[in-house]
Amino acid sequence: MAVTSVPIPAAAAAAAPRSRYRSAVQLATLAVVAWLAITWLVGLRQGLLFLVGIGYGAVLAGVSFGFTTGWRIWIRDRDPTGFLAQFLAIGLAMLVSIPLIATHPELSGAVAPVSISVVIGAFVFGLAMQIADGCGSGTLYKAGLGNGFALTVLPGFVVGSFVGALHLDRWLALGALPPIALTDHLGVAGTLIAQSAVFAVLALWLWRRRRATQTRWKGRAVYAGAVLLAVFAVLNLVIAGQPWGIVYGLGLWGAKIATALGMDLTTNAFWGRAAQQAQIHAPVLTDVTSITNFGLLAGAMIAATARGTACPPPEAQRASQWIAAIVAGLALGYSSRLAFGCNVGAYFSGISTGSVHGWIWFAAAFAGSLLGVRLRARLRLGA
Amino acid sequence: MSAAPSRLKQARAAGRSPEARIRARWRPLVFAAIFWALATLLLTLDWRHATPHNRFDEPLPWQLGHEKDGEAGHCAAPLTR
Repeated sequence: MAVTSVPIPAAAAAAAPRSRYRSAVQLATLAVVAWLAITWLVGLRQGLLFLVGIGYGAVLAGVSFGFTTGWRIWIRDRDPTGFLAQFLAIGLAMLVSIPLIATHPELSGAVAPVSISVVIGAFVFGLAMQIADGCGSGTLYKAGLGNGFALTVLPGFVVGSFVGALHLDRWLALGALPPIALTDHLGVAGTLIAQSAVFAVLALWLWRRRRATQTRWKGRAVYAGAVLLAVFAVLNLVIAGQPWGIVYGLGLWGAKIATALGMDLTTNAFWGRAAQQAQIHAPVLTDVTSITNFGLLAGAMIAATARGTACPPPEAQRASQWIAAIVAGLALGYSSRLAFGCNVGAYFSGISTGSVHGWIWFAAAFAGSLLGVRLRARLRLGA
Repeated sequence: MSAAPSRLKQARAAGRSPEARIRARWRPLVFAAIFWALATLLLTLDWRHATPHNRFDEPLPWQLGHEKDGEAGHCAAPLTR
């Protein structure tokens, strides 16, 4: 995102960081109040997950850890930094998560079917996330910061995610294999070695083809952020019993709104299941995915305020760009349900818990991003 | 009194009309305020209309080492399990 350089008077420049930190402390105080309220009203587990969500948001916004941007910067500038940080985060989370899941049946991985819908959904998601300049996590936290473009994408994301789940059975009818966990075939050690080797080969390939390394991320902060993301991902698994996810929560919000508007979802293949019906009628604060989403919003707000990046300039200026935001939002939501997750639920959590669908998602979404980066330039949506 | 001329100077330095610059500065704050107000309203409405939640009937603080209690939603959850 381009930031215009404006001369600031010396007194104002000295006051600006103090003012920012004061605002960040005020927001952090509000977050503590929210955490206490959640813990009191819902329970300790949801309170802890809210804190984990704050951690995700603070890291993502604090070091500008962008999944979408990382891919785009590689495609455009051949800077592998974003990709390497993602591999580090996923790899570290994997080293702890896979052995934990293998030895504790009460924990579940993000293991989804390998289907035609995953390939199509991930391709469309990869394309749309470059138009929207945000994946699941990015759209959510930018919307919370008041970014007009992300605020236009988010409602579409919610609607698309809800409708995608509504149509999921028809997409699976096109062809699907059962969920494949690599640990069932290679064992724990075999999976860790195989996945680490793939990451190492990919990282080496990206590094050898680099043309730059400091285009967006300076220093090692992004790698420190990757380590912290891995820590929070493991905490998510240990506390919730399942890995980090984003879009299920967005779809659930859509299902709740649809139900409140009188729509009967009891006969639907996905939303009609007993577990989903119970979740639709329970308070949204009891849903583990929603609670980390809310925490992510709060954490990103605090970190961005402290950094002075909480008021990004609006990216879209022309009608075609606003239309692109609405369409991209719908596509992001719909495709992420077909693909059994976004960059977080499928790519990060799928791979870090040994699901084959995570790797297929990665390949198909990257192919979509190659096209999406070109489309983004054509729509003049900025760097 | 001194803030307004300073903003105007900044706006001119940025090569945009002062009004457009000030609008661009305040718009995200207004959008963020609307977003958070709406989110709080929806959460309150949801809490009031949802099935009452018994906070004393909560699972243990973390899942690891405890018997699995029910199915939680996840993006990667298959349609049938």
